[in-house]
Amino acid sequence: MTPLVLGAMYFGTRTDERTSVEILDRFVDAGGTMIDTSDNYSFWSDPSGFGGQSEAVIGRWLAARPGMRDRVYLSTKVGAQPVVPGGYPDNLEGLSAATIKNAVQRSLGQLGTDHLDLYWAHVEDRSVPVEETMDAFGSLIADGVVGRIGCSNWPTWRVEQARHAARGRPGFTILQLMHSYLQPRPSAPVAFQSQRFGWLTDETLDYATTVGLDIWVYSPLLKGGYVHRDRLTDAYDHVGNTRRLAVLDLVAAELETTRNQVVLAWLVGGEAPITPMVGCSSVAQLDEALAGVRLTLNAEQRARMDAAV
Amino acid sequence: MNLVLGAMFFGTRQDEHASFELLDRFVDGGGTMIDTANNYAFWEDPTGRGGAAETVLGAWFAARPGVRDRVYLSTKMGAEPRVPGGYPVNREGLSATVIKEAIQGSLERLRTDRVDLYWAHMEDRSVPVDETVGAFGELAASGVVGRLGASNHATWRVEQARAAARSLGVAGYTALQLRHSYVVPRPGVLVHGHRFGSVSDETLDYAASEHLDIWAYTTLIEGAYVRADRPLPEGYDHPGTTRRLAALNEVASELGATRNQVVLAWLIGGSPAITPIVRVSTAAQLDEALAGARLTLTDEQRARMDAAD
Repeated sequence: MTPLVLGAMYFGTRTDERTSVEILDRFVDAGGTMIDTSDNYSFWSDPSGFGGQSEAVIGRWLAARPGMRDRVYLSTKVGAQPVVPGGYPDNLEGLSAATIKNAVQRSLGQLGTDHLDLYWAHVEDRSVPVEETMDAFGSLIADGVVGRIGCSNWPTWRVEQARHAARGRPGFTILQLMHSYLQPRPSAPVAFQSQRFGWLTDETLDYATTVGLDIWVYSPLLKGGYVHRDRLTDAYDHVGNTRRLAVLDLVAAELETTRNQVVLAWLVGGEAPITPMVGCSSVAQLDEALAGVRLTLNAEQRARMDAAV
Repeated sequence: MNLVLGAMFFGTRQDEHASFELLDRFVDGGGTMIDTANNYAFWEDPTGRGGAAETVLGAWFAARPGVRDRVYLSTKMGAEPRVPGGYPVNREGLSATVIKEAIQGSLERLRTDRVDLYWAHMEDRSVPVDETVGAFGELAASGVVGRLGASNHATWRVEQARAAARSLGVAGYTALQLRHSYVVPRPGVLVHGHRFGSVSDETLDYAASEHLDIWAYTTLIEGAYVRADRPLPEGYDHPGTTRRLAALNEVASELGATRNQVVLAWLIGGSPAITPIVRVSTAAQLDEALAGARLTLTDEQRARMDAAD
């Protein structure tokens, strides 16, 4: 299996349908299987103020490619769709039982399928008892509508609480968080990360490896920041990152490859079960990412990369 | 007063006479909370074992009739080496048998019949969490300890232990003890020996949500805020530290206070409030800390300090 998730965030909005379909076709032709979207992608890029365009593009693509649904591993999310235009982040659908029940039906309808391989709690909703949320997700698994559930942008202690609440029924077995080789300074704001607990931390790695959770990581290429330094905000300015970029350039030169590809190889080949997600706006970007996750670092290269802090 | 006297080197670096002077001055100055551990300070003692700090405290209680009832006494178990040189791999750990033995040893050395706050000093993942939690719970039920805390634990592990305590119907941890200060190291840099031993944003969220207290150690970073001969460790070198030190200097000069005092006031008056532990070796350092704990920052000063990153 290709250890890369295609992030479909901007399909149907910033990335037009023709290009989106081209990327989807190329992805599966090259051996990719995992596709990630959300019911709220991408409300901030659509005049309506609501998401759903991405799921709709994927749904039409699946409909136009008979047999394709069985070849892909389909992942979508619930919880962060605005209730009214402009409602993000305070006025979201959340994770009540009623919302989950309705949202999954809408997503299935948009995607034109009868099941999701992976369904995510997109954000936390502390206004709903965690037992209610886990009951609702658990029923979806019991009914065969959803194969597996995960949570995105949750701190580890809340994940543990939810897993405890789910005992005896299926609970979250996978986490989705932001992670990359470069790290921002502590508590410095990062423009493309609005989630307080959206970061993968050392605690996440410990938690996931100890209790046996998988991890998908978003924005592993820092929105193009490894190639376009100006896209990295001030938060990434510190000597640890200077050292990391120097090692990254050395390893990239040794392997005659790009920074992006080395970052993806570093994520995929580490001790923790990390799968990077890449949102592509062109076929060229997709090809670069696919080659990156197939790259292997030797132990000495990885040790050098890890040691730079 | 929300300040804890850290009794780590009493009986080793500081002889009994010097220790008594500091203890007397602390309670005369309005202090009540004293923190020690059964393994303080094995690395300073020719025997390779801890116990000296508790022994000095016990002698002080015996020499000052009535003072035991005036102080809030906190000690820890779990990190005493099993044999000299055994730390950290061969430490006593958190089995039920060891917990029962360790509390007796601490009570004898401290010459008291109870401990107000008893800590698991470090995690012990070789022991089932139910066993540890059950043994601590028994101590709380018998009245030998007033309250339980976890030091140097990952938050998800604390939540796991608290859930176990709820299931067993016993008292669980309601306090966390971790390293924390105003300036923080770069991502990935470990400035001390505990992988999960520092306050993180997740710790703050967890404590605020679940109403846990946070006791912070090494709050004044070994004198680095005020002593030119004690520079900050290299791991603190990043632009956020530079900005924070500048904000600290501004506020200190506005208040006519020392950097140390502003750091203590910042910790104590924050949300959630942090209880700082300070280790002192002179009366002047103690007086400085006591005055710092009584200092109040204006909202504007706090906002300026928080915004520096």
